[in-house]
Amino acid sequence: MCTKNACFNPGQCIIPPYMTIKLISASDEMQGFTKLSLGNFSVDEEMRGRRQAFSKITHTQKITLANEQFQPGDGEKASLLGIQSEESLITPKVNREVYDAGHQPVQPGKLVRKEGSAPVADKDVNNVYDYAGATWDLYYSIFGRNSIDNAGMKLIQTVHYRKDYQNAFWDGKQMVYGDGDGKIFSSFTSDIDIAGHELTHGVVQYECNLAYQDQSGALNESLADVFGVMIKQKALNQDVKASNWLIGENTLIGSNYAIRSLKAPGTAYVNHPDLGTDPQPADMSGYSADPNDNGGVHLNSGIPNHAFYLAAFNVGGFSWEKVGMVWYKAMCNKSLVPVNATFADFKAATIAESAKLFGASDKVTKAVQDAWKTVGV
Amino acid sequence: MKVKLIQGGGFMGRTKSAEEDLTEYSPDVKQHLEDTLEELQKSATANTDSAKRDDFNYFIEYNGNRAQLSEDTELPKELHGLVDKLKNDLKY
Ligand SMILES: [Zn+2]
Repeated sequence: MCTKNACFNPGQCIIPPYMTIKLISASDEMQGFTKLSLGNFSVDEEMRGRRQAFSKITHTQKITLANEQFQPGDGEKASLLGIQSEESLITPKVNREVYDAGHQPVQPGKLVRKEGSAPVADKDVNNVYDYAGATWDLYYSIFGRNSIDNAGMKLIQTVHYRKDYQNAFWDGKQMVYGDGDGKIFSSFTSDIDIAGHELTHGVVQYECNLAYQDQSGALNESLADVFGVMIKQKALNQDVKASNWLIGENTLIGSNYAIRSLKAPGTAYVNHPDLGTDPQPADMSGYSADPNDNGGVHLNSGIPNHAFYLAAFNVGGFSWEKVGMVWYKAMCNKSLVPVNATFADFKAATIAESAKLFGASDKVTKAVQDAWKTVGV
Repeated sequence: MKVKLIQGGGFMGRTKSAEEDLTEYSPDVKQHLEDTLEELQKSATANTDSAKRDDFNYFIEYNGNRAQLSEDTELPKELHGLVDKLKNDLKY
């Protein structure tokens, strides 16, 4: 059984979104450039004190820094900031649009909220607007990434898609959310991690672009869950111990139910009256292909999901600081993570990236190796 | 003879299905079903070609054949009632 120790649903949560989502502002300028030549700063120091460090350097140094900004991996596009004006270089900003499908099978539908406009009466609209902001914030402030395509792509979302639609999806260009049926599922706008999951499918599309079948598909699903849960943790300022590591805890109706658990795959829901018990495996002994779900992409994602949890938990602190950075670098490394990558390929990529970032014998690299071994990869 | 509609994938990744016995249906419906399955099998493209993620997958099984369709697949009007009934009856 899962336990819910925090949520992001404005209707149920003790921490409202406006207190936890902090988008980039003038005073936060450039906080995202994490891996660059900051004098003698170590990666750890950069991660602990990016803002303080940045505030101490001169304007010229800031420009130089931006031109040498964090290069996420071989698959990454050339630095966006290197080809922009000084002004835009300083302040990349999130750009969101939310549309209402009016319960019809239409996309994007009617524009109901755009960047900078005030909240509207519809909480589903406001939820996804805020969640997309939190997602952009994590990718920018931690990984130096400017939106889904790393080139400032507009974040387009449609709510109220079809009638009683029990799903959310990424269509290749935008996110789409259904209202749920009100019996098994509430609105798919109820969880920040689901929005982060869907937006991360977009990031994957612009990076390693993992094929949506078998192990590469399960890796695609896992990356969406891993970054989805990281986005929730960052928005709630939760470290690896405080987080419940659940996906969709407000969307699957029932206080003891969530859709997936990275901490304990296979326990997100137990003896649910309609769904039975969560079938996700936590290690390779439970790997199985599901012909109705592209070879079990939502099933076998439990294995790499759990590897991320184990590594992050053993390292401690905030997941996005070290192991999250390793996973991000691996996701952006097309040469180590090809379109048809296996779990073993991704394992090798995370170990290689960890060794590059922290050293081959560092505890982070050891934790990553141990995690993959534990899940049988 | 029964026809089965299967819904897989989606964010939840769990399969739902529904069956309908066609004994009482007209031969016309059964013929349209067989023809549609054949057409869908011929025009099948790899699902991984789509950029959609977490979308539902739909499969129809009849008379030992299985074919994939999408929510956008255009079906002959003779099958609309049957497919709508199957969609409404989908259960985990
Ligand atoms: Zn997904």
